[in-house]
Amino acid sequence: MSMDRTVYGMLSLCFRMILGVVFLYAGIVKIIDPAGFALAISNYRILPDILVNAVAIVLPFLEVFAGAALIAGIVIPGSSLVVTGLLLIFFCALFISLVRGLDISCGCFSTSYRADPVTWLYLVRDGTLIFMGGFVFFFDQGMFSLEKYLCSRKT
Amino acid sequence: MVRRCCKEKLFHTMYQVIVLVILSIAVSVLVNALRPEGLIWMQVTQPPGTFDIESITPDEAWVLLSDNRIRFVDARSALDFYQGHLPGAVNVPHKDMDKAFMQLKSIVQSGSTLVTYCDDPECTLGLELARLLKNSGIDTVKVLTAGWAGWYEAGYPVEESMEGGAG
Repeated sequence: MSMDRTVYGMLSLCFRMILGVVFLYAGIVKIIDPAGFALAISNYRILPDILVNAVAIVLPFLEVFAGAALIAGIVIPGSSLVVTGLLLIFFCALFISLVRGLDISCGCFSTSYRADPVTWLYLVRDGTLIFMGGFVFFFDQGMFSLEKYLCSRKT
Repeated sequence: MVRRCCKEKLFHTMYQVIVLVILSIAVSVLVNALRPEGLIWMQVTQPPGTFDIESITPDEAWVLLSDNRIRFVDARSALDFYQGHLPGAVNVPHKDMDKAFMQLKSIVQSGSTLVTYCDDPECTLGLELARLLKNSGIDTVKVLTAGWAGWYEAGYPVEESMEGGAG
């Protein structure tokens, strides 16, 4: 039982770091070029125009904060739920645009429209990350968690 | 007992999510207000992200074209270009951007401003091309937001030919 817990904890720690780095990087790239990201969102033609800029402004920061929280091990249940929820939304957006046959860029890790045209491989990548997010949400043991460390020092 | 624990955990998690969302909104509002290239929150009149590229109307473009001060760059496909394009336009679809870059650069060096366009305001290929050119170091680039349709409806002349392709 405790062996299982250790394995789950180690795996969850790995997934936390992977997701954390991925989200931190993706968020920073978008913060640098909000106009490019707005264009990438608008190309999906899913959101009404009036919401495009608001999402382009806020979403990158949510990615950065959730990613940083996962790496540091603060509010792990909340941040893993945010990350998994965002990945599910991205999955739906990618799926819809692939079915509609839109020739657009992903806007995932670059705001340039030529960098990464959407393919079915993106769904596989996104699905893998969703699995990691779910795993962290359900099985994280708080290894190398700043929150846990601070709480244990208090008591 | 178990149910109460789960309920507490769920409540705790939702609380964390709300904190993360509120924190993100607060910081993004602040950063967007402070940065010079910040976006306008709610925007419907122009395509999103146009603020870094100057937009030009068909009337303004016609005046500048008459003075030979601009050169149109058609961001649509070769087929669309063949069926009709703006006077003197160079056809640069996405995939031909690298091939056409030197040609566009020499046009700019000769003193002309590039004006990209696509079909209509709904199509963002012209804007995307303009952004790409700007990122590649060509500063004198504008976008004809009204596009081919806006130009045509305004009654200005158009051309039909294969000439002007990017290579």
